[in-house]
Amino acid sequence: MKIRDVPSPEYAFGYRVPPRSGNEINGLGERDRRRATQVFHNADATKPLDWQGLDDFFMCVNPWEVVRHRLVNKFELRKEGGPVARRVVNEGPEKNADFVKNVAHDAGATLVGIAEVQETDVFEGREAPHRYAVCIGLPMAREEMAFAARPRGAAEVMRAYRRIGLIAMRLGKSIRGRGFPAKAYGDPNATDILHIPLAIRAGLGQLGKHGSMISREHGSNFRLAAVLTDMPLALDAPRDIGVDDVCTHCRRCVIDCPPDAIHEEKQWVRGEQRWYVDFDKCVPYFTKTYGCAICIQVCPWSEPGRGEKLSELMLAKRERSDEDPSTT
Amino acid sequence: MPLDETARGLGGFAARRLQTVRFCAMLLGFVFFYLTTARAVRRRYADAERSGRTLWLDHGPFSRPTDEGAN
Repeated sequence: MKIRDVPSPEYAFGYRVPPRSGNEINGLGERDRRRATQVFHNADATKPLDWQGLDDFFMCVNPWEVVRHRLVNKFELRKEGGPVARRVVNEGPEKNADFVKNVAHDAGATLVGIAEVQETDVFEGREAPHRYAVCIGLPMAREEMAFAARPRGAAEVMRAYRRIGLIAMRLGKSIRGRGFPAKAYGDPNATDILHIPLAIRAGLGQLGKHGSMISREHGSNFRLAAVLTDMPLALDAPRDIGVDDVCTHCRRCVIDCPPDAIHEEKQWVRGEQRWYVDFDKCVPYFTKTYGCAICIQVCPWSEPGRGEKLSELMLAKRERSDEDPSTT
Repeated sequence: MPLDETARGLGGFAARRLQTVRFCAMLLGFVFFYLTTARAVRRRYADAERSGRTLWLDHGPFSRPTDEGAN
């Protein structure tokens, strides 16, 4: 998809004294593993972050369609937790996992996977209340996302967040109805957990060059939520769908990113080599364009029906080259 | 009787109603903010964009655009 009339990366806002680099806060260049620190878009407004000024400005300039969805989402988030039924229904990890996945699918989630929460899935200074994470994903309307970097595209992003948040809350309630505690994470802002590493381990997809997740089913055109619970659940395995094979050579998002924020090569970030987006370049443009999303829309994986073919092609190619190294 | 929204019984019920009241207060506060302070910021931002000046974010709720540090 080509995004038309892209705003220029020139800003009528800025800092007299720039805050500490977001890349430094994110741990760019660090070889040791550590937990992530919140840097932007924190749900807890009582603890201002280094980039709070830009975050507040983002909130001020958000169009009403976005604000409306966000306020309803906030209202619905009242039900992220709730009372747990006295009677415990435990059918064992496999059947419990089937139950959870059926409820999530019936509620409208198109991607569902289960992972165990690790220390590095939780932000510094936060705690995960439960052991397992049920990660869920929902696609955004592609025709609306043609208006990415403009209010109409931003409204679709927030609509998807609101809808997936609601699904998470329904799932949480169903789990609590079986006698296990569960907390839904349907806030689009940063709360306790990092959704992407959990969703990758839950087999929903892989990290793309543009720093967002790529799934076989929707490319990057989807949003995530999660439910944390102590209900014993069978874990899903991470899935290699061939994202690295494509992203290593593809430059679509790099070329189309107006502030030139996407790194060509993987970087060391908190003890892991991974794709990384320059925070200091991305976030001002993200703010100016109500959440941008150009990179995830131009991504070839996001073309409807293309991800599955691309994945099959890449995995077959890799298998051939593994069998006969001379063909590479 | 714990005042916790995850608790069963009267304490849980009261905590959940309190949450709704808190949300309503937050909603009123936010709508007031969006129609006053945020509106002023949006207007100053539009002015800054038109005139090529800069809105500084160092101190909320963001000063009027100044010539200093203009783009």
